[in-house]
Amino acid sequence: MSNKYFLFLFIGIGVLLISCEQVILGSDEPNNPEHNFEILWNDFDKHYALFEVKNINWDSLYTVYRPQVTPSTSDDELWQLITEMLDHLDDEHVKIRIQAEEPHNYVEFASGAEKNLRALEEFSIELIAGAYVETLYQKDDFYSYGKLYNENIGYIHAIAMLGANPSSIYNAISELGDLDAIIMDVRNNIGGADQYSAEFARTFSDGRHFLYTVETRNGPNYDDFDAPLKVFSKPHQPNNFTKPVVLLTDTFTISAAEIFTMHMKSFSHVTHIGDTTAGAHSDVGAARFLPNGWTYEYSIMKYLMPDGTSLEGVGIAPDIYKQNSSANIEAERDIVLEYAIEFLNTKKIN
Amino acid sequence: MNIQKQLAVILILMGCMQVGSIKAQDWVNPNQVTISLGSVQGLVKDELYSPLNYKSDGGTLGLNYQKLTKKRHLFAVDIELQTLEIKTNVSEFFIADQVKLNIEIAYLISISSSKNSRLFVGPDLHSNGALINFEDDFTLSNSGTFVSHRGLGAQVLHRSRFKKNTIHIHGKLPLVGKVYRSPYNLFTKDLNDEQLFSFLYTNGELSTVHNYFNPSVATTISRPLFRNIHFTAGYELNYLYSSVNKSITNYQGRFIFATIFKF
Repeated sequence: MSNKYFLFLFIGIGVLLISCEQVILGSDEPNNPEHNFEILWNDFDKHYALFEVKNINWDSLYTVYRPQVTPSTSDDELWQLITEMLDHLDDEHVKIRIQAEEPHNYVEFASGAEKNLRALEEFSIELIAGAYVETLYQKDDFYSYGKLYNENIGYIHAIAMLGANPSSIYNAISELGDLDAIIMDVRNNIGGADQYSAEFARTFSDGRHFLYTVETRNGPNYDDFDAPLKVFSKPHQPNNFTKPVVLLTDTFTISAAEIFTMHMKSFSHVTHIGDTTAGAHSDVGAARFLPNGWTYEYSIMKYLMPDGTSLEGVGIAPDIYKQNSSANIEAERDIVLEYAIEFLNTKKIN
Repeated sequence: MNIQKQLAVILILMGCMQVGSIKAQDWVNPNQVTISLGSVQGLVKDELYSPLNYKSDGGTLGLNYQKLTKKRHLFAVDIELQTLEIKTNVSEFFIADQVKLNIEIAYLISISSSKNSRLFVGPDLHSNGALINFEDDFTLSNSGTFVSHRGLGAQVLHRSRFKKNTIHIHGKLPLVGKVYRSPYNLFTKDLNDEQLFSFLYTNGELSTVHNYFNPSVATTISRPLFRNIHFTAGYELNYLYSSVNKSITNYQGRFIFATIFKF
C-alpha cells in the first residue's frame, strides 16, 4: 500500500472510531426512573459528608423510597419522591434542579429550606434604606453601607459573601467618617465563598482565633475524611475597626454568611444579635448529573467547632435573641435593628 | 463543520499537494519551527465527573521546534493547547468546557535510514493535562475535574519521501510517571483557586501503562510551498484510559494543518 493510501485509511479509521461511542466508552446510562433513583441514592451514599453528624440512616430511607419507584413512575412522581427523601437531610446545600429548555429557567428544591423562608418576610432592605439610613451606598461587591439617621453608627448589609474585592469594606467604613460603632447585618444573606467571608471579617479582626475545623469526605465509608484543616480568623491589622460592633443574623443567614458569623463572634468587641442562623456550613460539592437531565449537589465537608460538635442543621445561636415578625416589617419597623441601635447607645453611655 | 465535511476538506487539500510544482527542499534542514492548527472531535467519559458519555468538539493550536543534530538525531520541543466543548445526548444544559495542555521534550535517535526514509526512536519528557469545567453562572452550580500526567514516554517517528512530499508516522506512549487526578469529591478545602496550581503538582500517584494508558499515533504529509516554508496536513488519534481515582476514557481524532518554517 502506498503511503498516501495508508494516510487516507488511517483518517478513515479514526473518524469511524469517533462514531463508535459504545465501543470506546461503553453504553451510556439508561434514562429510566429506577436507574435515576439508584444513581442519585448511590452517589449520596458514597459522597455525602453529613450522614453521621446529622444521624441520618440513609439505608432506611432507601428501604422506604426505593420500592415506590417503578418503571412507570412519572417524572413528577419521581421528583416528589426524591425531594421528600432528600428533605430528611435538612441540609440547604442539598439541592436538586430540573433545567427548563429556556436558559436560566429552572425548578429547584433545597432540603430543609422551607423552615427558613419566613425570614424573607421578616427583613426588608428597602425599609432600612428608607427609614433608618441616611443614604445607602451600593458597592460592586454584594454589600451596601451608610450611616444611621441621628447616630454616629455605621450600617453595613451584605446580601452575599461574594465579590471581587472584600477589602473595599475598609474604604467604605472610612468614607462614613470616625464612627462610634457599626451594625454589620447579614440577615437574608445567601452565602458565597468562605474565603470572601474571612477577608470581609478581617476588617473587624482583633486577633487570630481558632474557629473551626474542616474535613472533606474522601472515601466510600461514612467516616472516610481528610485530615482536619484548622481555620483561624485573620490577624489584627492597625486600621481594623475594633470599636463596638453588632452583628445581625436571621434564619436566612446561610453558609458562607455563617462562616462570617463564626469569624465575627470570635472578636471580643462584636455582639451577636438576632435569630439563629440556618445551619448549613459545608461547601457545596460539585454539580452532579442524572440521565434524565436533572442536576443535584450535596455537602461534601463537615465543619466542627473547636469542641468537636457540628452545628449543621442546628445553626449559630445569637448572644441576644431578637426576631422581627412580618407584621413589624409591614408596620415599617425593624425591631431587631432598633434593638441593636439601643444596645450600642447603652454601651456607649456605660 | 461536521466530520464528513472536514474529511472532504483534508482530502481535497492533500489532492492539491499532489499536483504542486514547487521543488521539495531537502528534509534534513537542521532547524524547523512548526505552527499548527487543528480541529478535534472526540469522546469522553470521566466517572469522577459524571456517569454520562460525552462528545467533544473543538480546536487545537500547536507550536513545535525541531533540530536535527549533526548525527541526524532529532531534538524536539512541543507545546499544544486544545479548547473543546463537551456535551451529552441528555441535555444542552450539561455542556461544559474541556481544556488540554500538552508540553513535551523529545530526543529521538535515528536508528535506520535509507535513501527515502528514516526511522527515529527515543524518549520524551512530557506534561499532559486535561481539565473539564462546568459552570452555571445563574445557579452558581459548578463542577470540574482534571487528569494530568507528567513523566517519561517513548516515541517512534518514521519519515519517508515520495516525489516532493514527506510522510511522517509518529507514535507516542507515556511509560512511567505520575498521574494527577481530582480528589474523591472533586473539591477539597485545599483545592481553592489559590492552591489549585500547587495541588496539581503535589498529589500525584505513580503510574505506568497499567493505570495510565495514553497512546497516540499521528500521520502527516508535508510538502514545500516555498524554499523554506512547508505545508503539512495530517490526522492524529489519541486514546487515554486511566483508572486512577475512578476511570476516565478520552478518545480523540484531530485534523492538523501546519506551516513549517525551516532554517
